[in-house]
Amino acid sequence: MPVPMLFMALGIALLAVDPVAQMPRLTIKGHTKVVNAVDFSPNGKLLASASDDDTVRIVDPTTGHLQRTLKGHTDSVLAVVFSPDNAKIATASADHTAKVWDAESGKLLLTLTGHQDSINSVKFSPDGESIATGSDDDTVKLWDVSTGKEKGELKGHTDSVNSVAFSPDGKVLVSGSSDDTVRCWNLETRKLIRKLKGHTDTVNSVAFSPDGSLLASAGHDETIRLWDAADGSPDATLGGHNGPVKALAFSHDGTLLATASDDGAAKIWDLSDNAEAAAFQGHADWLNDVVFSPDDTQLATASDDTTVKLWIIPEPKPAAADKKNTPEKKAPEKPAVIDKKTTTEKKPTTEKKPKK
Amino acid sequence: MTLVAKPLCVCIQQHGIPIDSVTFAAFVQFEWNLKSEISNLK
Repeated sequence: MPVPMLFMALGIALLAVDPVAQMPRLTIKGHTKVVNAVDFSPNGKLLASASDDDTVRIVDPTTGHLQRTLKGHTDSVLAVVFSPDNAKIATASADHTAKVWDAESGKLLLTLTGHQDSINSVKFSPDGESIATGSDDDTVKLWDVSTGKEKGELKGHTDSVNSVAFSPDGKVLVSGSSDDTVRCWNLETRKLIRKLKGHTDTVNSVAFSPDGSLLASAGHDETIRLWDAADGSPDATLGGHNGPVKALAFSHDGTLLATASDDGAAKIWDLSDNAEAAAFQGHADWLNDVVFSPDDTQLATASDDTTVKLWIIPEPKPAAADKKNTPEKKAPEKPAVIDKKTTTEKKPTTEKKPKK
Repeated sequence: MTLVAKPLCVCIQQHGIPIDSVTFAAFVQFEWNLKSEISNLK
């Protein structure tokens, strides 16, 4: 029997005896292929998911009911993000374009053309007036949201740009690349501020903390790294995933960091002590994205298993609770959390992630 | 209907099968590479 068939057979056999011990609050089905990305609208009323089936599905995160489907891309949709005012949705695709849609009607507003390869990441600036995109053509481009015109290009990476993020004040952009580096760019001068080296493999995801003091990066080397955003010095390295870390997100109050990995788990890290606070398992395949709900009570995860899952975040650990100013936070109804089941010895990643 | 075959590494995690992390990480890497190759063939 060919090796792939053997693995499929073994996988299906194990799937058949899965006792379904951990249940997320909601599993949202509908995509017919891999789900690459997920995002909540800032007001929490909508949840968007982007898929290899070339569509973006907009659902009510309370019920999971489909509100509308965005169709227009001609290849996999690799990223999706809401604008800060909830009015627009930006998407990035392997068809080399990014698109801007009206979130309410689903009408296509703009198509951003100029990248020479797949676009892996798209983000709105904090003021909602600009968009940044990162591409397999090794560049970051900046776009005017009102006109759809390209207004800048950041060159320097020597391999695919997999993730981009604006600082909360909109003055700095950070990018993560398959060249194993994280780079910080001054958006006024369009010049490189610094290059952060530490990851030993592809950087899959980057993010600023809500107060702008920390940078976080997730790598194919199975680590999450925290950096001082002011000077780029390494702050901490979080190990615990047993596979490439594909995505990360800060909670909106800045006390927690969520990560998603090809080991099939999403994890939450308490940033008061950088310890793993919770793990969420239940997807039947690798995870591609993770995001907090605007009120930080839920996580949404996107997976190769074609679903999006919503998970209740358990009550924070005391250290994190002390830092929060949300004493009225609701208790979880059905936490889908399990204890760590594997040890945390690390093995260096030796093989390079193939370029998409 | 889409049939999704669960990767062995995901099953191992979810069932808490005792396996050392070095072997587990090798599983993840091998399956990731395998899946990438299959994806490239499509």
